[in-house]
Amino acid sequence: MLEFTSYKDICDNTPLGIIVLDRVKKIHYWNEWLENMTTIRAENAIGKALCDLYPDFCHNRFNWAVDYVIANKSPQILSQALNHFVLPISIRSRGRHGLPVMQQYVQIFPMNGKNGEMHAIVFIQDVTESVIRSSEYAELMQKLREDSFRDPLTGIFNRRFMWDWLLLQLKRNEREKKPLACMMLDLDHFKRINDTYGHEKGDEVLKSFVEVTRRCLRNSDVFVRYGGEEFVAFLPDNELLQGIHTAQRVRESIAASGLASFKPGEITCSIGVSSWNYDNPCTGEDLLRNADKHLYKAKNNGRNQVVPVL
Amino acid sequence: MKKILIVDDSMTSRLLFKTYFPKDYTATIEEANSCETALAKAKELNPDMIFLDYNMPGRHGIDIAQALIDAGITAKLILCTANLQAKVVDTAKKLGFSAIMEKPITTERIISVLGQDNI
Amino acid sequence: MKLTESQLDTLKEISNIGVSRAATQLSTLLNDEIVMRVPEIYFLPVDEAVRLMPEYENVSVVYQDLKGDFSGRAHLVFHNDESRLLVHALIGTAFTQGSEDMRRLYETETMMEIGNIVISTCISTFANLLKNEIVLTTPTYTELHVSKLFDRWPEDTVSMIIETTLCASKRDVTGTLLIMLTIGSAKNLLIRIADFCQNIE
Repeated sequence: MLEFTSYKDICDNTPLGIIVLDRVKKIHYWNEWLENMTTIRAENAIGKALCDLYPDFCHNRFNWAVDYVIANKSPQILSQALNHFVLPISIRSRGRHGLPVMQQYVQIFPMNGKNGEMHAIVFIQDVTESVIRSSEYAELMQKLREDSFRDPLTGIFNRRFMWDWLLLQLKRNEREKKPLACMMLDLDHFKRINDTYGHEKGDEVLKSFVEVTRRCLRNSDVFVRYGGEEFVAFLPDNELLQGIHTAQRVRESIAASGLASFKPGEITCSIGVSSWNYDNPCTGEDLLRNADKHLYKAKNNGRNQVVPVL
Repeated sequence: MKKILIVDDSMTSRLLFKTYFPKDYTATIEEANSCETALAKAKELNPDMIFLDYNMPGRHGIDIAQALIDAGITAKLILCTANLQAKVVDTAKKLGFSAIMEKPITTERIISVLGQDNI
Repeated sequence: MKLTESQLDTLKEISNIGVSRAATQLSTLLNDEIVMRVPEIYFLPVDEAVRLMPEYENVSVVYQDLKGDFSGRAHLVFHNDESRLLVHALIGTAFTQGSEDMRRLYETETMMEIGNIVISTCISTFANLLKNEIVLTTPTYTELHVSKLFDRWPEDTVSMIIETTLCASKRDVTGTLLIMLTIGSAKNLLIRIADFCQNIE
């Protein structure tokens, strides 16, 4: 028995749409959230079917699901991904991404009515924000493939891109509690190569280095040319250990490949690895600084190695 | 007296068909469980109606229907299936099926098909 | 637990109807033709069943628990790579630009609904035909090593495996419907099937 409020108050304060339907799909309950979102008052909804309220919009999957739930007393879910929405609710103010209609995630459960008849209770969640966010991210990645964020020689991302991206990425990592590994790579004795063989040869080596390294990275990893012969790679969802493994693979591949007509082993690289973790977060600058410290150690220890060691 | 042939690889399904077949409709019911036996029986019996299961291992009901038509069988064809996708229904109609009966088989469904004008 | 030929045949026919209905519903949802292969049925003790599962290491699974006249759990098991292909085939390549995370979120949501539909239609077909009441819980999505599907079950659990292929016009996906039943429920199922066969003879 509720002391301080009623079940009706609870339902009216619930930030989801709640509809109760009977076996012929007539509405028995229509909560306040729905009144506000659809501008259809409960007294105008009760007793009608959804097809009466929205005559141009008949959702086959939804109808089948309601029939199923009532006949079998088992739940049905309707994803936003495949259905988009079951009630057409316009959201003009949020439409800047071309989404004029609310995106919905719907769950339908069986519920006993007073007379022992089976009903369906429908919960409608507004998931428009996360859909917009996902397309925002997709748009950003698309924009950032354009030239102003690319290194002209190697075609990978440049430093300018990196800071924008890193900020966004760390925010997401915090939200989703996911880790991020960071590798700082530096070609060994690169100045010597440039001085001995000339800049053109040096450029060839850099391009070749990028090619070989890329093959060790996933599509979702972000590879950046940080300086002349300095590179950074970010590995989303990777912990330090996984980062070190990848770094070792890269180091081995470079040492084993003949870059730009050099013999295998003539050109090597050193790699410093760091990581960002949700339970011990740091700034983007710190993440890079830590990787840099490790890279420095690797150089001092004789080059052609990965720090930390496993 | 109508002659009916039921083609279905499932013994259970053929049994269901015979059990649910309306008692007041006079007909003899023969069975076949594959394309080969269907062809053989159809040629031998010259049935009025052939009920074909859609989902059979090897060749499905519509392919078997094609084989029967090619062999000159003129019986009315009825597709039995729980798979009522538009594509399946359209293909069946184009091929010349007189009716489509939804599975699981019930007496009502059989009566409904038998009562159709074109049967 | 040995099945007679007629019991196995009945199980097959009921599964056939269940999967066909699932294909029909999926086809409406996805607005695409779904081609299905006639299901293979296996009815085995849990330690033998694990050997029948494909040797994929990690699988994507959607599952719902069974309550009522039968107790156990129904899983729809997809191999990871295949499930990803299915999702791409179904929702198009809208997410090739997005990140790995966004894709995975969409995959999970899509798999949940597809799993829900396949499990729901198959189980309700059994319930309706055998005139039993089976209630399902809310679907859950998980990714795990295939052997873990069998770990937590008591030794005498019975596995009913319904193996089928569902193809959306662009891709093949093999889905395995794995139903774990308590020994009591498995025996009950066979009795109900025997009754069903008797009533039609």
